[in-house]
Amino acid sequence: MIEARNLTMVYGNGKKATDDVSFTVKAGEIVGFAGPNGAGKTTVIKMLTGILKPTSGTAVINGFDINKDPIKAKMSFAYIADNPDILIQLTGLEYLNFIADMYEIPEDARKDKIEELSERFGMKDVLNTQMREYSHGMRQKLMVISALIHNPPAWILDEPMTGLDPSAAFELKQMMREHAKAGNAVLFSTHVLEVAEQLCDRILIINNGKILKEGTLDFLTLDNPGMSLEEIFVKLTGKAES
Amino acid sequence: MIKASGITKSFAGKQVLSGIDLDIKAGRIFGLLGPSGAGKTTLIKIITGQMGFDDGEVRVFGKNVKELNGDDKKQIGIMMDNHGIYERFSCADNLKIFADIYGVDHSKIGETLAKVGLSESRRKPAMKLSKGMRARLQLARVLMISPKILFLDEPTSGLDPMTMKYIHKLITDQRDMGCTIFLTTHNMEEAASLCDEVALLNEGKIIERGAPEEICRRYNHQKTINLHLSSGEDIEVIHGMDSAKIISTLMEQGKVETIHSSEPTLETVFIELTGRKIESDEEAKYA
Amino acid sequence: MNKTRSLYKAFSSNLEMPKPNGEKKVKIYNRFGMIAFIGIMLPISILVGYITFVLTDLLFAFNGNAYGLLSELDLISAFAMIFGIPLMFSVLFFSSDLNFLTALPVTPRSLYVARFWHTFRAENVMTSNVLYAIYIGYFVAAVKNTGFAFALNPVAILASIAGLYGALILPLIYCSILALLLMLILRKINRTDIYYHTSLVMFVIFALMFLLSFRGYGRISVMDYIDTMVLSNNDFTNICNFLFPTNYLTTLALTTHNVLPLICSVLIVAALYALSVLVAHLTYRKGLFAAAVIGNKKASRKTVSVKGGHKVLASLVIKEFKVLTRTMTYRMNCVYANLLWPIAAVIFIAEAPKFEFFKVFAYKLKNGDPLSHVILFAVIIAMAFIASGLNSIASTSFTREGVHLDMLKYLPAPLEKQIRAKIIIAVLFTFIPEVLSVAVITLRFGIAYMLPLYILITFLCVLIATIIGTLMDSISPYTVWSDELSALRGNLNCFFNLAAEMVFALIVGGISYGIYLLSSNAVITIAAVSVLLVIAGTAGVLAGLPHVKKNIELLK
Repeated sequence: MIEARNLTMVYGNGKKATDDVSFTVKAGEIVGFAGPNGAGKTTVIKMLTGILKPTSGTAVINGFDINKDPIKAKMSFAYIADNPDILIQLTGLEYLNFIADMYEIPEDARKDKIEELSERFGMKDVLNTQMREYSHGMRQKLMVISALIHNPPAWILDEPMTGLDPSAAFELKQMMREHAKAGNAVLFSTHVLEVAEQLCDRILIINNGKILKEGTLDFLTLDNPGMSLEEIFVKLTGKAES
Repeated sequence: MIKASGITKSFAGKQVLSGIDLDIKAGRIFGLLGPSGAGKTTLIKIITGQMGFDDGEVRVFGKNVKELNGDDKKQIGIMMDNHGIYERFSCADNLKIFADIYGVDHSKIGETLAKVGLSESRRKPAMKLSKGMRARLQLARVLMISPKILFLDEPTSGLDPMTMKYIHKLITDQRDMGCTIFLTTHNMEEAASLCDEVALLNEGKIIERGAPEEICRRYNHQKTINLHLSSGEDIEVIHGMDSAKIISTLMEQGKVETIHSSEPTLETVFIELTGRKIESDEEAKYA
Repeated sequence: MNKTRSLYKAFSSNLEMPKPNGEKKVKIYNRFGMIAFIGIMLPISILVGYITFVLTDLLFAFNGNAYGLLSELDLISAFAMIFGIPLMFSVLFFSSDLNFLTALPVTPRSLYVARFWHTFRAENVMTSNVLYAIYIGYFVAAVKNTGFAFALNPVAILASIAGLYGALILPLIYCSILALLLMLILRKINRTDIYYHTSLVMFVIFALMFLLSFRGYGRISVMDYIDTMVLSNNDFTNICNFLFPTNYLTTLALTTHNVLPLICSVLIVAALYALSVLVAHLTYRKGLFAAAVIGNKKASRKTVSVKGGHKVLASLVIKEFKVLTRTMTYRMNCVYANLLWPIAAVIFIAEAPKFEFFKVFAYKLKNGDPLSHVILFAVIIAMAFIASGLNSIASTSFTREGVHLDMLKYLPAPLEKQIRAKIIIAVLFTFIPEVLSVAVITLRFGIAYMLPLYILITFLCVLIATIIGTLMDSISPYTVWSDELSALRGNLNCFFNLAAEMVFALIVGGISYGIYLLSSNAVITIAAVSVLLVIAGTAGVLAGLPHVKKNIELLK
């Protein structure tokens, strides 16, 4: 469903941000993407979503190549960016409508979805308020809602839990499970390893632009007996960058 | 160190904070928890004197917050949201600006950069820093002034486990040096391990407070027991009167493969108290 | 003091736009820099300096040598005043970094001082250059008429320095005081929309006041002009002498070499500045509190109603529209700034008939004088290009997105459509006020039959200008800014674009004139230039837009 094929990104100064990154997220799977800050997670996600053009390699989403058939590929995924301060001049509702227009969602379908989601995340009362007046957490919630109003087969979420309060995070986790169960693919990057532990079928650990480990949680712990996921993570990625 | 009584604040007729009481002792880490939009940022702004309020009193260093002078304010470090990093300046130059504002000797800059592990990047412009480095630079800014009180609004949001640990260490070191720390976080594990005391703010009111373990103990009735049955089914039994009965009958029937009991954590308490709005609304409808 | 300087330094860091990545782009940038220099700074400076020189030279005969200088200073001060109110409002109260700044242990006074000087510097790069040219023009004329030793008397030099800064500082001081006091009053009302609209009302009031006071400003005949100036019996000069006494006093010191008025003017500036600092000391904190609250209120509890869906392009256009009209800084600089054209046109047709040259020109146009028609045609073209450069909508197309430029790429809407939406909005905002002013002028000249052609030409020019602006912004959008004013002022793209538009206006004007010289036939000239513009417009759409798309795709 979500396929990264040999994604390599070389920046102007010759530095390789990612090096030959390949993986697949199958339908019905939740895959966590972990690694320290600056490891290349965001670069990989930006290549998957067509924000960056890879130096070599490509990504295929729902059977559509992001670089050859960008519009169809983009229609097939929902994306949450890592910074939620987007278009804060709009009201929450205007933003949701704007996104719905972009994904060409018919009126009646979006209406129910917006009602349901805004209720679920406790945002109904503030939908008519301009987003510049929202707190960071509220903006993040709205980003989550906007990603979920269209129901594409793939979700690509860049640190979706950051800034969410535990109740909202709980709802999102619940929805990720439901979404995967319905036969869709979910890829999300995270720092909170507990979240990865609770949710993921598989986990990818990336550092210095390379996938270091890929596997189910059982497999990872089998390899490193007696260690928690966090300890494995620290062992694989080494000391904190400075 | 920080004492607030009966703080009330409303915006355009809508009450955002109602009757908040706080008493934070010197040298403690206090965590303010609560869902987004509960009024956490407003409360911090009021306590730090950035915003007026309608009713109540705030005392910091034993003085009314409205009467704090420049010297008092120099001992309060505040780290909120993303502002305060000037992208084109190097790390050292960024700190220099704040050293001047807070009247701190420039020799502190190198020292502080070393403390947060940014010595090697001292000449890098801020716009080239990774997220973890930015967080450390922001922290350096407030640590540099050797504060007596530190306000940290989600200091570890979006950071990887190692940077997070690093920052936790800096925070506890600071506490051990006698600094009072007031922080907010959405990470309940962090709150449980770091804070001496937490308060849960919801819809403008403090609905729960105390040491993290103490709160969890109070909600012990929430303890659940998860059973994995041989049929592949998972069931959750809430700890209580009839839970033992259910489990023993299932055991006798030999259906149980594994038993796993989960204690209430700060997270489950949080969700129980603030989440699932829809359900409680529905209940209210029928009542 | 140390603190204030640090704050000032920190704010200023926003103004230095980083050079783009990649050698090729740096090269393009340097070329833009040259165009900007040649296209804007040089012609404006030379023109203004020359006008001053001629006026001064002429007025020496009438012993009123500095009055040309004085009226130029007054004009500049008046404009600074018109734009200053909304500017100071947003800089002092609605900038996004204030939230953080208020948490620092800085007194409101030093915050105000740092803000004030930062704004002063950010706003006056261009204007101060123009002022240098004005003074140079004046001194050249003075040297010519009175000789070196007399003209370059130390008092005169000091007076010119004081006059230069006084003309710029005084309006800004007034606007700060007004903004501070207004906030204090508005605090009681506590409604967001009123805050926003008050600054517009002030803007319109000032604009009208100054523009109306022009009535009765010299007739075109030289004698009248000198009369009104020397006797200073027109409203504009009266208002300005009262509002900006330093302009008057420093010119007085400049001509008479008397130290007294010079000292007076310096004292006045110092006193008013001290007053503004005092007002800030007393009210700024309260104002900031009020502004912070506004940011938090208005949780309207309307029932959630989902409005009907729009087509992708329409939705994109609406988004651009809302971003422009709901951000204070953009609204002033990009949207309202366009209103100056129709206002100027209305005042032009109301006042100009009093002038000799207007009557001659109107008569010639009506009787089909070819040169007059070519001139009007060229003026309309130049207006369209310059209007597009001035409002910076096109040249901030991508800059406005800030760090969220990514969004253009991950949304499933084709990039072409998103670019088209940006172009449509820039064209609309520029074209409508432009066409209004053109219509007003054309109808007044009684040549309504030309109107359809003028509308078409205006549209084409605005379209071409917009594509140029968008293309320039796409090369290296300026996305890291901490407040919206920096997105405009710290943005070299805007400046370069204005220069490029002026160069284009010049080129098209030059071509028109050239063709006219060759053919001595207005019909041929206008037809040929129109065809050229159609070709350029088509080329812009066919070749320019794909280029914009490619630039955006290549951004990292």
